[in-house]
Amino acid sequence: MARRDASPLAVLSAAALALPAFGASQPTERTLAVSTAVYQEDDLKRSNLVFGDVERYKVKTNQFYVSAPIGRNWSGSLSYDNESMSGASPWGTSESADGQSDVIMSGASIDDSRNGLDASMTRYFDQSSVSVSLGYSGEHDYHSRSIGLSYERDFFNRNTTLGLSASYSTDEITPTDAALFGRVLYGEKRSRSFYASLTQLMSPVAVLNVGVGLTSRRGFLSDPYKLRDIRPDSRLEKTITASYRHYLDWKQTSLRLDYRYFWDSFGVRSQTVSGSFMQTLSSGISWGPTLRYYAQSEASFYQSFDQYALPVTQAQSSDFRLSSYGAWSYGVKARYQLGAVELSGAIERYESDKGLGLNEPVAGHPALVRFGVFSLGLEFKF
Amino acid sequence: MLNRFVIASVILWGLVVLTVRSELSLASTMVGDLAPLFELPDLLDIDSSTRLSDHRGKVVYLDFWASWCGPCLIAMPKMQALQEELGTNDFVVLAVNVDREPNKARKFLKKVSVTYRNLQDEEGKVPASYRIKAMPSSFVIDRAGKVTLVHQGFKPGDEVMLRQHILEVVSRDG
Amino acid sequence: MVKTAAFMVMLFAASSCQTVEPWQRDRLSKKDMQLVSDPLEARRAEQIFFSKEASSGGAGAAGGGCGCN
Repeated sequence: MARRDASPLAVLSAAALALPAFGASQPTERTLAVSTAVYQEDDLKRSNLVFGDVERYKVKTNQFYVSAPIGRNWSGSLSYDNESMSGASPWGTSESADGQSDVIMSGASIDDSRNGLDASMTRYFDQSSVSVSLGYSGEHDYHSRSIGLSYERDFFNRNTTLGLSASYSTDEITPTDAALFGRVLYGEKRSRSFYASLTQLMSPVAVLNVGVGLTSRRGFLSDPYKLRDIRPDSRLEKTITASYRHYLDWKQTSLRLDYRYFWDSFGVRSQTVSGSFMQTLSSGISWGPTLRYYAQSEASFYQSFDQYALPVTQAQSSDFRLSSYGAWSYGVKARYQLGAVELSGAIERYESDKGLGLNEPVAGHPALVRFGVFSLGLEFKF
Repeated sequence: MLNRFVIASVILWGLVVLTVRSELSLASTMVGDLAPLFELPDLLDIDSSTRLSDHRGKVVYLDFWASWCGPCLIAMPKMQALQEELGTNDFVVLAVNVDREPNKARKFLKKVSVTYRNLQDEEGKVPASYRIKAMPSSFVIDRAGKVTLVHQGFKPGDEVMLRQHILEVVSRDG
Repeated sequence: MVKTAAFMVMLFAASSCQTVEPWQRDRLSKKDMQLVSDPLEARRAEQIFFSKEASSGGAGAAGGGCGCN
């Protein structure tokens, strides 16, 4: 089963969302939101399959979110996610007759669920705010706990905002059927993360944000469900991000652009560019396309297929997620405002391609994923 | 090499921002200052206009609001209540709407009608002269035209403090 | 090359910035003009991409998005 780490997008960002008009200010309304989504991966190509099922992963996600101002100087928010996962995932990769790679899929279809809870409290001051957040994510074999702290400070009449945040989390994994499959019985991981950003109002219709991030992970970082996956016990990740928002009056359209450059001690580098338009029509409907381009290089210890001859002390993995590849996602989002209620829906398609990776591909990984996501949401402000 | 590039970019970026922002924000109109004078047309009657000086001799509660600003809208019924309670002999509420599209404000006033005067300033000249730092911003101006209170933002419960202050100013000069 | 381009964009952007007064923030307070317009969708997307790609983090929120885990 593909391990899914808890990755709570800091509820901090969610709290910062309900700002009246930019800056570190207390939100003025309460928000209640629910959402449901279905994620479905395409079947594997039978010709690439050594053993197992062609049917891949399906995840149903239900989310709940509430945030509100508390008193004159505080706000709080709570976020709950529930995911039900089913399907098979790649166990390992072997060399096929023509020197390419073929996938060995996990046999039984896994049924598992994940529950995640994030809570945050923010205290507002005249030109700044401080937030504390706590997070928990659990599956039957995986538990993660996190704590985060963030600080925001406005300058120049709230035209500039500096953001600083730090978080710490610990994860524990007790792989299922460990003894049966010779898997490690227990693994621990600790992560520390720092992020700094600067947001600048460029004009009454434009905002620019730049940020740098640093994350250090230590402990058991390998995937215990893969036949041969041995990763270093530390990983240092760095990111540089830039976001731009621009409002086009003449079209009642918001343009969103986001860029991220990532590099880490595993040797992975990646670029992510995403953009979308959202146009508001007079009927109260907003809609628009979304596009995302992603390209990564392979990890320094990536192997196209499992090499049992390599010593177990040497880092090695044939996980497609560490190979060189890229992906395009495209989709459409729509929203309808009906009084205090907003209905939303989105559909997105993700297609990875070995040719888009940052390295020269020798042989693309056969398990590169393609999936579709369909989601519906409801938001109530009062 | 990339790290040095990143640091250099961030520093350069910081310098550029600081240079462009070199005009540090001046303090808004303060307590004790003479309230800047203005003349604006009525939001609901474009042909008529009102001057701040027309109300010299009365205590004025000057409020800057916009239809897109949540806290601004919370304040309106409270101000209406205050105007009704104190009558118009000694006290007058003057609201300056700064919507770029005044029609949005008119549409809003149809749903939440108030009896006090709403003035139209879509170019934002008057809030600029008062150098306001937040939306909404309101000022209590005494009978001589001096500012006695500057209030930024509006949270439920603020009307208690405002009412207290206004009563003091009304009785002080009366 | 991409880095130089990004840097140029930043400089250009910085040179064209104006001071935005409080009464000029109507469009900036619109939902789609926020750095994170939909927190639920952002959480879900981060979870998906974190699980299926080698990169993570770098969320665009001014004060948060620390790429935990």
